[in-house]
Amino acid sequence: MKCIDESQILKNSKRKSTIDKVVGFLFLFVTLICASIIIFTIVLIAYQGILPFIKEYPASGNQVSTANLGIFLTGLSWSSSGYGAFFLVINTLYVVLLSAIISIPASILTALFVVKIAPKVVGEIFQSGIEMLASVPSVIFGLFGQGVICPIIRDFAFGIGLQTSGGTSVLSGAIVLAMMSIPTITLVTITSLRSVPKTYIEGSLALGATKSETNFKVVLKGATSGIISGIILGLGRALGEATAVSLVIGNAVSGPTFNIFDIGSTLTSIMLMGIGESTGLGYDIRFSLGIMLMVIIVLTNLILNYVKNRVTNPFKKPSKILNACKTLIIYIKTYFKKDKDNEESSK
Amino acid sequence: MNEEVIFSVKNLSLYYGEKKALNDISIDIYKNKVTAFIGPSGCGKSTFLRCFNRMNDLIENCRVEGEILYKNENILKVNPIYLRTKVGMVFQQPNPFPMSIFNNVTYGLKCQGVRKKDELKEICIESLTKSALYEEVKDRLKDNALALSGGQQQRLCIARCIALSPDVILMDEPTSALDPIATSKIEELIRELKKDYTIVIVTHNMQQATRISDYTAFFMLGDLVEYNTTDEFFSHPKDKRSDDYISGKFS
Amino acid sequence: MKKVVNNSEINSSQIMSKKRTVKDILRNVSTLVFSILTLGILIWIIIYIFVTGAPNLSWSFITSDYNETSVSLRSESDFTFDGRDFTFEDPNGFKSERWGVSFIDGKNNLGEDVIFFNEICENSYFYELIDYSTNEVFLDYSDQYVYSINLMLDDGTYQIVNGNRYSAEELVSYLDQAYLIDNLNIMTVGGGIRGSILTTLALIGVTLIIALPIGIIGAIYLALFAKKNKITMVLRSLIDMTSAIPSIIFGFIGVIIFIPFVNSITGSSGGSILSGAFTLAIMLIPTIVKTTEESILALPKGYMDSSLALGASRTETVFKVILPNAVPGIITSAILSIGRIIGESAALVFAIGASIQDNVSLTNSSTSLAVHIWVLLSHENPNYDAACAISIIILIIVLILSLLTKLISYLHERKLKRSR
Repeated sequence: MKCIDESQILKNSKRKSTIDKVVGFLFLFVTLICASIIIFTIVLIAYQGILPFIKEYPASGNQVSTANLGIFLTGLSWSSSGYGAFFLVINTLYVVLLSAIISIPASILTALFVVKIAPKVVGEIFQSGIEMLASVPSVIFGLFGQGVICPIIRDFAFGIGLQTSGGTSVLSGAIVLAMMSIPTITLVTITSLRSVPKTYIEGSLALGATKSETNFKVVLKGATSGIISGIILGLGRALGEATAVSLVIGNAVSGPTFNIFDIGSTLTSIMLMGIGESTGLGYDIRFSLGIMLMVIIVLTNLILNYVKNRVTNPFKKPSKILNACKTLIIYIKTYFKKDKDNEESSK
Repeated sequence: MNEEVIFSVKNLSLYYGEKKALNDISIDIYKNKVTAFIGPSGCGKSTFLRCFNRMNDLIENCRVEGEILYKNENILKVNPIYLRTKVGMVFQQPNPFPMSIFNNVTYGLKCQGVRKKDELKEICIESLTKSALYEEVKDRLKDNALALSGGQQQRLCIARCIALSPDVILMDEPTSALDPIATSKIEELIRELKKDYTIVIVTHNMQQATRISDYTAFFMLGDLVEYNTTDEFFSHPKDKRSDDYISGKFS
Repeated sequence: MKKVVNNSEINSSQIMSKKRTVKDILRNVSTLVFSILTLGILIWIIIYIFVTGAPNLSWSFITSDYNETSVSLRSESDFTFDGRDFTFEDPNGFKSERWGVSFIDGKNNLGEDVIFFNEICENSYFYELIDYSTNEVFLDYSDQYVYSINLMLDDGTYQIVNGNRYSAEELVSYLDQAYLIDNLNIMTVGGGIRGSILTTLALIGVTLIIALPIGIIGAIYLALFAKKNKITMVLRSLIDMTSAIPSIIFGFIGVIIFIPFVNSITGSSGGSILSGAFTLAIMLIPTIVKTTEESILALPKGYMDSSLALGASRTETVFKVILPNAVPGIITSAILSIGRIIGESAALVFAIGASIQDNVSLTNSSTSLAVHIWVLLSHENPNYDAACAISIIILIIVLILSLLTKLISYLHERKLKRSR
């Protein structure tokens, strides 16, 4: 049998080992670039977001030349004479909360229907429909919201004797956000419902529970951690959504407003407002809003993850930081309670 | 025993992290013989086999102490890629690449920079003939190798190995995923191959060891319990544990 | 107190009590109602978009420019009627027998009422009008509408007819009294989306060229080269976390880094397709890494081992065995990326800008289709017709892409099944 030259192989092998090392190093380098995207993003946004508070910008009239951090963190109106973002935080959370109230039950029930109740073919049709809905770009939701939801809200509000600004309102924003997060939450929930062990279901049925009791009491419990992951994803999408919300919420520049028929605004809608026209401070202050948005997203993620861990792992001891937070919360609670008690006793 | 030694293992210990998987093993592998490693599952025989072509380098936290001499040279000093062309390996699961039969057999050669079509073809046919597969596949060398049956796939893997004309072929339970007929074909092939190659085979089938091997090493819990010619080992085991294992007291 | 249930007490009527049955039905019905609602949203969106957008969706809409271009025409100075006759082929439209031309009312792509040319007879005087700017006879009236026309009437007065204030009928009645056209201002139908389509295609191309190689290499490293230690875990979770950042934040990165970067290299000013593509690339890399890594990890484990045992190097294994077999996964991740590029708006508003352009170049600002919709809607008078028409295009592309991914995964699974 023909053989390859021994020394040739040896030479080849040495060369290949070197190539392997070089390629491995190059690939590591590229991977480091991929992983550093998030670090760069955070650092840059933080840096650019702090600049408006320390740098002097050219200003005319009653415009401020430097943003004030105190006003930014506590202010209730947003204009070139003072950038207060506190009301935006409140309003963002309020809108997202409203959307969650709509989207979470709807998603869970839909997922339950698709996985456990519908006949297989129907379930598959529904699932493809939801997948399709998930791939609809956000700006189309905005178009639908502006073209369909807003007029409906306007007419409905008119019907009950309220005036709206053409239907653009907090409620419209919440509905559009809910429509966008429903497919995300539903798809993750479907996956987690599918992975609930069959033995749970059989055990429940064998104890004489009906199918629907099993579905609601056993299957949903078994899928809790997956459902919460879905909620984390869905709320993340809702919090970060910009274009669709900006089209339907009305972009109020002061607040906060809790009237669902009033115009409102979110952090992201303000970021998009007047983008083509503003320069200088009016433009750069958006980066500061970016920091705020990221902080809110991280905090909601942490809270929901904590809930998830508590639900799925009730025996796990919470970490020190969380313990401290809990003590703090308990302390605040008792403090307020004391206040209440005092009030009551004084009465 | 005045056979030519090809591998000489001296006081080899192997750790996975903190766990010791092989304990102070010394053994000589003889040229052009079939050596069988037997033992209950989890005794470290497969791990030991993978030391011979340094496949354990790929496993995280794997640490080797002691030395293995390949033709009187420490294998840690040999370039691993070179070592692996000289010491081929056949795995438990037949795992041909999803490409044509011809490309599978010539894969190693192409990696060594052999480009001439007729040379590749010649070696391909020769290795397939040696691995007793040529007659079955000669009309469909361009077909996807995944279309072959399990036994054929395993023989293809052997052919792929032979194509590089190695000195040693390591086989890690090559028949455990195959049916009895395919197994007997592979065993027959192994008996043929030992004329040209040194074969080290891991098996958990004692009958197979008696049928094909010249030497047998019995491992248990990371220790080399006994190493002897196959006839001697199965007829007069010296260690109590070997005796128990052979007589089927545990497996 | 625990109530001890006597076995004989539980009779069948109690087990399936009425209350329990009603509850059962309610539960099942509630799931049905909500799933129909969810699916209803999709159907409603599709119906709304198709009903509103379809009448506006035409070939000229897709291929024409967004900005209107106008041409000014006049009669020759020594123009007189020579008493020729005209034959109209199209019975519709308001016909001017004097000039041999007919008009029809219509809307331009911005939704304004304008007067369109319906038919111009072969021997019409309109084919003898002269372009002010070139002093040559103007012949191409296709897709043009009348913006304004200044006429010398038979009674010696001077009449200006504005296209958006007069109807076609009135225009024709004035035209039939006129002996000279002093100034005819015609415009091409604007509001087209050719520029945005080109921008979207350019964005897809450039973004994939940047992001795919980086993403695939990252995936290969994580799946095949990386040691399973803490550092790899950190790298992987950093890449995972990147996808939790909202896209508008990436838009900021585009403004902060990529726009100045591209400007300093190409000498352009402001956002450009290149800066947008860089922004989209960093946004998509984590997803590409993830999907590609998954498809590599789904390959049979033995490939790497058996290839190495045959004396191949890792690099050779990657390029000869792993990558060819991971192609379906890579294509899937590319398709997913295309879907996201088409749908992305917030990041692009910042990284490219929001001014709709017809002359697309890599170093200039323009809009993708999704941003085009956003621009149309954030106007004072939102143009729903055009926005819906663009949405139809986007939805159809997205649908095709999702069908493609399903087809690829189906074919791949069938191939794997056959090989087993």
